[in-house]
Amino acid sequence: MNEELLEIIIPLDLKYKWSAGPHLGAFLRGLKEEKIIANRCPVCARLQLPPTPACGRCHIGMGEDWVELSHQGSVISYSSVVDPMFDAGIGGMRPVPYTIAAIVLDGGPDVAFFHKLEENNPEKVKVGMRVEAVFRPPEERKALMEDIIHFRTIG
Amino acid sequence: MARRVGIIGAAQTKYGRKPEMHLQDVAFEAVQKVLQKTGLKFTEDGSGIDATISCSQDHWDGWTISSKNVVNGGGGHLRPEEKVAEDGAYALYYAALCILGGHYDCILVVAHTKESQVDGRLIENSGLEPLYTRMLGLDFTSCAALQAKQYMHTYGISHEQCARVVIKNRGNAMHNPCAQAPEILTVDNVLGSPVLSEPIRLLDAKPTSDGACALIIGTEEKAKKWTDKPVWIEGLGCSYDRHYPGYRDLTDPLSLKEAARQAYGMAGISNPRGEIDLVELSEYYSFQELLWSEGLGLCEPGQGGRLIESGATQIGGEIPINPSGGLLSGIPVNVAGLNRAAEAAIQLKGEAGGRQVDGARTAVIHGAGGVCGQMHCVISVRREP
Repeated sequence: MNEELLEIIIPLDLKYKWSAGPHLGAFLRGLKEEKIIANRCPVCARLQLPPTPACGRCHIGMGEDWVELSHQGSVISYSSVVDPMFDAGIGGMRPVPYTIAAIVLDGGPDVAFFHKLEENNPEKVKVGMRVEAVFRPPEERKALMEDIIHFRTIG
Repeated sequence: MARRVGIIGAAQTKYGRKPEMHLQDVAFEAVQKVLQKTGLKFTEDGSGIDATISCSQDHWDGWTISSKNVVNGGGGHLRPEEKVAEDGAYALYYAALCILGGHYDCILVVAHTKESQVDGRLIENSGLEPLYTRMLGLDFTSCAALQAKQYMHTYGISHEQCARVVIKNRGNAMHNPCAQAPEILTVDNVLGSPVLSEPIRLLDAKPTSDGACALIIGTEEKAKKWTDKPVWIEGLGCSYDRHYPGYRDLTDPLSLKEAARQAYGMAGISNPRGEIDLVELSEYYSFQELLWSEGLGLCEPGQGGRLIESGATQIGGEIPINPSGGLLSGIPVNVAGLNRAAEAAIQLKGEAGGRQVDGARTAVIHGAGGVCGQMHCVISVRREP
């Protein structure tokens, strides 16, 4: 056979309406009020960030013991993303480079908060670097993770 | 184990982009090959293959209940067919449990995926929790980059040590006729390839790949009847960690250690490095071969870099890892773990040609899935002396 390849493009464009629920909802509503909120397990007392309905270790409902965390913390890992990726939110390729980081917030749980850094020069980012969350102005916040623009370098 | 489970035969497609093939063609090719190789047929009277267990994923296939792609060609028509949607190693794990449980005596396990038909980064992005991490523009590669950076920083692992994994595996693939990307590479080639998400470069990541793999397993009686060289499944383990990678210490693969503990315990392995002749593991990125080596107990935590430098993991070394060429030589997701099993079986049957590990009697199969290796499956196998 010497036929042309037959490849047919069929888009699958689905819009989901995700319910945040009481736990992730408390976290997202907290962002709108410039707060980073975790919840505490009634048994092992570990903090969960983001807040979850159940503690994986204790197999118990987490309840509503909300704890507000510091906006400052330390970078434990980071990456400068160079390869662009499609972003449904803007309907095009995400501008690069952007720097993502795993940040442990002061006095918070022993888990990392993933977000972007303001600093886009990988030479200027270090493990252990101190950073602080920069929130959007109140009128621009939508109870989304993007209510935090990025983390900026401090100290 | 109350019953023994044996791998009777394994077959695969050649891996690579396959724009000329429908998904069903890809799966059917691997199934046809394994049926021809073993002489087994799908039967209803217990004389052949009793059931099919498949691995694929709806989102990758773009078709819900993606096992529809193996109904006709995989023996699923008016017969039992079930799908495991994580990784092919889990499909094999489940199939082995079905035989141990006594429900079936002989099972075809088949995995297929065509990564080339969709933007895989968006599939991986949608593998992340939607409200918390997805909108940050993360995918498996950028999350793996955070894992790589933390691992390299914590233990002083160098990028050159990671590059040596790529060089070894792509070089091993030179002897694997099914491999997609056999190539002789240098450290400079790897470190000079384009950055995807720092420190991960193009050659540190597995290439986009299409293909399928099929295995037939059976009871001791079936295995002995249908092959002269059965490969016995002796240990099975699987474990999941939390999804959100921020909850995990990414330098300490707890769920891998737990899966290995289960499998080694069942197989009576107390000193994995001394008792295992070869390992086929799932390194989606170069650094993961080092980290997974530690999780599998082949070296101490943080010693993965020294392990590759020592040459111990090359073919002919003390503990060869991925003599097949590994995932870095191009194996599709979902197929990855079953391909590891096929390659281990081919080795223990002594049919690995130029990539054969001399005298191999025991092997460990490792499948992984999820962002930064959330879940792991470990299966140990052995042949008769």
